[in-house]
Amino acid sequence: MDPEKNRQNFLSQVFRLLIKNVTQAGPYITASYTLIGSVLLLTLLGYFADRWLGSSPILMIIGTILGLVVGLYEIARVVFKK
Amino acid sequence: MRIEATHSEGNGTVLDKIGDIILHHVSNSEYPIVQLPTMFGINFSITKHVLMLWVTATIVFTVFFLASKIYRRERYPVPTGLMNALESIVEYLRNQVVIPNVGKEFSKVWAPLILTLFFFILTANGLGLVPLFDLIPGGSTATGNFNVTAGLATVTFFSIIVAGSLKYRFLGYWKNMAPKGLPFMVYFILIPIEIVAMFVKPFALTLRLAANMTGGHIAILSIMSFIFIFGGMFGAGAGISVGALVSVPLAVGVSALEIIIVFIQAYVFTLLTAIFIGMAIHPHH
Repeated sequence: MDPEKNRQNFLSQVFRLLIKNVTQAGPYITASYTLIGSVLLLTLLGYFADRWLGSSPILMIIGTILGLVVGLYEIARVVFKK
Repeated sequence: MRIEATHSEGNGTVLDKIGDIILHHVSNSEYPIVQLPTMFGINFSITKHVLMLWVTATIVFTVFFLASKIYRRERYPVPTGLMNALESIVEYLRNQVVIPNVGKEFSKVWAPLILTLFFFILTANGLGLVPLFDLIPGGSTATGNFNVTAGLATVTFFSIIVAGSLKYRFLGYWKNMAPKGLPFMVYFILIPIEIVAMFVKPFALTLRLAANMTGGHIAILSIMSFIFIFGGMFGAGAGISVGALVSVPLAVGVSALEIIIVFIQAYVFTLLTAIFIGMAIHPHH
């Protein structure tokens, strides 16, 4: 096989492997970012609700805990999926 | 990076200015290119990210318009050149991303949206790496802006609801959110969690894309700023040697990594949109 074709084959194999890995990792990427996202989103929501209602820091703490619960639930759903 | 802006007098000023310069580069500028009045509480001014979005949209539209021109004429059934390249990507995404996740039944409904998202994000990410766009008043990566990615994720959010509603009707989709056959009390916990999760998923999409695109740029700019920091502190010789031995090779490495990230982030956004739409169509399978 000529070297040019060999190189193209190698590149396409690497590319396919990369895509395959990313595709397989898809649900886990979702789960990890859902944990960060839910904690961040609900903490921020709690923070602004606190500022609005003047009840600092109760709602922010509730938001953080709820964010953790939602994030861990999503991770559990991915990990324990049959 | 505006290098002339770092030409400062003393040591402190270089260090003081670098943070501002990096922020100025990655954030949407406070001084828009075209100042427009505020209407309905929304500022309609054209900033650099808005300009980059238009450039991206124009490029994507032009490329696909030209590529599909021959198909519409139906003169050459065998694709060539640009058509061939685009067709292979479109076909790959349809067969490997859309159909396995969304299913064959709805693949024709959702493939256009998913493909559009992929090419738009890929182009927007890629344009951020082209140094030429730095010459226009501060062109940069539009997808590095949280508002842009939030807009894209909003499209995903509503597509998920529409996808579920198309299959199960509006009420049926909401009933599918929690699994059936659990003790009654569990639903009091599960339903709020599912509703929050519904909003969190697009939020995570927003966060990931914008953070990845901004993070890469900040890394490169920080590495390059070593040249000016060392130059300012220990003289020009130190700056040049740090630049030649550390900053430039490292920045080249990070740039190479960014080329991969540009592609992977566009693909991940597309893949996750397809997975979420699929989850609405085939709940808990």
